[in-house]
Amino acid sequence: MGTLMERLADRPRSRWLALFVISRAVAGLIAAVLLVVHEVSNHDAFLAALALAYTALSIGVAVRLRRRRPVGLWVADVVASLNLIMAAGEWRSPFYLLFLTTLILPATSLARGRAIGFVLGTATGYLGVALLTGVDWGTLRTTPRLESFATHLLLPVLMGVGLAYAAELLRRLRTEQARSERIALEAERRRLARELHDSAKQRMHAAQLLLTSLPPGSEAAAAEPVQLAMRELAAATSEMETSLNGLRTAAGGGTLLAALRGRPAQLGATAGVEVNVAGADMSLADPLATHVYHVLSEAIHNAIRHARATTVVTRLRQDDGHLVATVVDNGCGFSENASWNSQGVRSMMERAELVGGYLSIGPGIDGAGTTVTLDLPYAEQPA
Amino acid sequence: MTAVLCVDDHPALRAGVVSVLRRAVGITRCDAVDSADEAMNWAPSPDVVLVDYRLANGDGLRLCHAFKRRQPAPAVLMYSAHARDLALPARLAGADGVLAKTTPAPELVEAIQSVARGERVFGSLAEDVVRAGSCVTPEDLPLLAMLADGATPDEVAGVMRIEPAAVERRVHRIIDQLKPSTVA
Repeated sequence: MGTLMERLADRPRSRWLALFVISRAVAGLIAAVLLVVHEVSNHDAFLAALALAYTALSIGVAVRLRRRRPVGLWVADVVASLNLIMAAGEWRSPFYLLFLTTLILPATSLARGRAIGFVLGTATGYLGVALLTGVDWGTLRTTPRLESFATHLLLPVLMGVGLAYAAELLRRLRTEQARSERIALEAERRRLARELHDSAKQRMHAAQLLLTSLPPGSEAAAAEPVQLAMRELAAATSEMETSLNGLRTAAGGGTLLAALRGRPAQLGATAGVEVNVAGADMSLADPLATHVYHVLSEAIHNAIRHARATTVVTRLRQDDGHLVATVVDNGCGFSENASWNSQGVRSMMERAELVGGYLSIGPGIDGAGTTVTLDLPYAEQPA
Repeated sequence: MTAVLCVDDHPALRAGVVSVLRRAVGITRCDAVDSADEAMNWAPSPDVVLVDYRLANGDGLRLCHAFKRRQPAPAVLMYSAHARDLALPARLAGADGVLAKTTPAPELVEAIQSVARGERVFGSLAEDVVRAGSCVTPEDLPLLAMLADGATPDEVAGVMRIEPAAVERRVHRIIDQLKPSTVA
C-alpha cells in the first residue's frame, strides 16, 4: 500500500484518486458495519457483502483506469450507489456516504462547468431516490428531520462544487508554475548565450587571429602542434556557434524543427540549396532535443559545406519508444569526400552515444550522396 | 602608412588585434579603445577604424555612421562574428566593409589596407537586398537598392527629389529594421 500511495501522490490527479480510494473504502466499511449492527431489514448480511464487493470492484476499476476520464463509468457508479440506497429502502441509508464518494473523481477530473453539471445531476438523482423510497412528509414537519433531509440533499452539491473549484485551482497553479519555470529557464538560456558570445567566443577569435598571424612558411607556423591547435580552435568556434544557435532558439521557446530550419540560413546557404525538414517535432526544452539538434545540424552543415549538396532532406519520426532522424543529401558522398570534417563526425558520434543512441553514416539514395541516421531511445514526455 | 583604431569591448580581442596589427607591414600604428565615446575623441584621427557591431555602451553601426559624417572621414570596417547578416545594414551606415571575426590575420591586414586605399570590402549584396525586401516598406526599397549599389545619400536625395535630411531619417529607419538582433 505504501508504494502505491507514494506512486499516487506524485501527481495531482493521483492525489484525487487517493482521496477516492481511501474515502470509498471507509464508506464501504461503514455501510457494511452499520447494516449488520443495526439490522435494518432481513437481507442485511447480503447487502453488506454486496456493499463490500462493490467497494472493492469500484476501487479496482478506478485505479486501473486512472489515466482516463470514463464519464460513462462514473454515471454508472452514481446509479449503482443510488440503487444501493433504494435497496436499503431509506434515504438516510448507510449507503449515503458511499453515494457521496461517487462525486470525487468526476468533480475533480472534469472541467469546472461540466463538473458542476455532473454534481447537480447527481443531487437531483438523489432527490428522486428520496422521493421514491418515500419521504415521510409528516415526519419532515419536525425540525430535526427537515434539517437532516436538507443536509442530505445539499451536502453532495457543496462537496462537489468545492472539489471542482479546488481541482481547477490546482490545475491553474500547475500551469502557472510550469510557465514561470519555463520563463526562468529561457532567461537563463539567454544569459548563457550572451555570456558565451560576449566573452568566451571573443577570446577564441583573438586566439585564432594570433595563431593565423604567424608568418606563413615560418617554422612556427608549420609546426604540427600549431596546425592542430588551429584546427581545434576552428572546430570549437563552429561548435560554439551551433550551441549558441540552439540556446537562442530554445530561449525563444522554439522547437527542434524550427531550429533546424533556421540552420541553412546561418550557414549562408540560402541560394541554390534546398533544405527540407519535417516530421515529429519536439520542444527544445526537452533535454534530449539539444543533442538531437547538435547531431542533425552538424549533418546538415557537412552536407552543405563539405559535400556541396543541393538538396538536403531531414526527417524525424517517433515509433515504438525510439526517435529516428535521417539526413539525406545528394552531395559528393561520404567515402570519397576527404573534406568531411572528422572532428565534426566524432562529435556527432559522441553525442549519439551520450544519449544512448546509435549513429550510422552511409551512402544516400541510389548510392549517391550521404545518409546520416540517428536512432535513439525516446519516450515522449507526458504533457 | 596606415593608422588603425580598434573599437571592441572585449580586452582579449583588443589585445589580439593590436598585437597582430602592430607587427603587420604597412600599418604604422594601432590603438584600441573599448567605447564609442573614446573612439570619437581619439587623437590623432585614425585612417581606418575597426568597429565591433555590439559595444557595451552603444551600437557599432551608430559609431560607424558618426565617423562617416566627419570631414575627412576615416575608412570604417565593421568587425563582427556574423558578418553576413551585418553586410547590408553596415553598407547603409556608410561602412567601407564588413569582416568576420574568424578571418585569418593576413586577410584582416589586407582588408584594412584595401579600405585605406578607398576600396570596399563587401561581398555581393544583391541577395541581401532581395531578402531585405520583405522587412522594409516598398517605398524604402529603391533607396535601399541605390545605397547598396554604392550611391551616396546626397545622390539618392537628388534622384528621389527629397531632402538629404529625409534620406538620412529613412536610412536610420531601415537600419533599425535590418539590424541583426542576436548578433554582436
